[in-house]
Amino acid sequence: MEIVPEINSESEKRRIVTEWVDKYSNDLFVFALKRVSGTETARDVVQTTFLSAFNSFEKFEGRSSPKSWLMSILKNKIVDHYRKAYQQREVELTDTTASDFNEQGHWTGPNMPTDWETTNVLDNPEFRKVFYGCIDALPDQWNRVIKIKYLEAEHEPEELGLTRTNYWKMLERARRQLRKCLEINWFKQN
Amino acid sequence: MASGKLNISCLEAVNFIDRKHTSGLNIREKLALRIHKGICKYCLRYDRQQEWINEALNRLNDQNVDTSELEDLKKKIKEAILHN
Repeated sequence: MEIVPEINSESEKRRIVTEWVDKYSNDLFVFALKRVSGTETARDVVQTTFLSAFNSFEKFEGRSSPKSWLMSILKNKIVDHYRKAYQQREVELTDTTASDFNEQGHWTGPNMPTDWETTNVLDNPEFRKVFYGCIDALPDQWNRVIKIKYLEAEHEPEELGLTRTNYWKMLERARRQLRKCLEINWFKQN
Repeated sequence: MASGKLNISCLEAVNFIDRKHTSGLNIREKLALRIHKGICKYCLRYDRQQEWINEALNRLNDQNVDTSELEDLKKKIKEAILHN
């Protein structure tokens, strides 16, 4: 616990929070990157976190470490971010795969999966760009379930207002969309 | 949901493959999928591609952060605090 009992002066508050920026930005940024889409959004939530720590500095009473206090603010900011996105976007519930098949349930021409050459492709920086690009291009909701599942987010789907079944459905759609995006933007061209 | 039949369409096979990675399949579904993959190369490809995407996503975990970007971010936040 490094906190001084009474911090009245603005400048003292500023000094402490600035120190935290140096000390904890890295951890917060890495944490955020794994949970939101794109570095831009990650930067935004980290910045909002420090500003809100600065503005509500009085609430930090040294009961927890600065880092865990900042982390708890960050988590709330990330949840806020998704709540906003959730309200802005109606969840797409049409089955995108259905259009890839005819009435008999067979693959139709251009939608048939092509033969992928995946050897060493993950080490190719050009491919990685396409891969990240395809993840970022997913609708926010789908992007989020991918991050929950694969990027070790500590959120449980339920915490973000998703039922388990809904979460699974979205994850399935996200992966389908991702496969299609990779097929079109990489594997069909290489 | 295929209740009992082992002869499934590509659309059903794809749904099974997707579900394999989330809620899972029962024994009959697993068997139907295996039979279908034996006769349909497109669904076999789809299955392998989804397996591969799974691995690729897991490897994403060890992404590194560009440190110059971090310094830039720190600077911006400090400025924002100053002018708050």
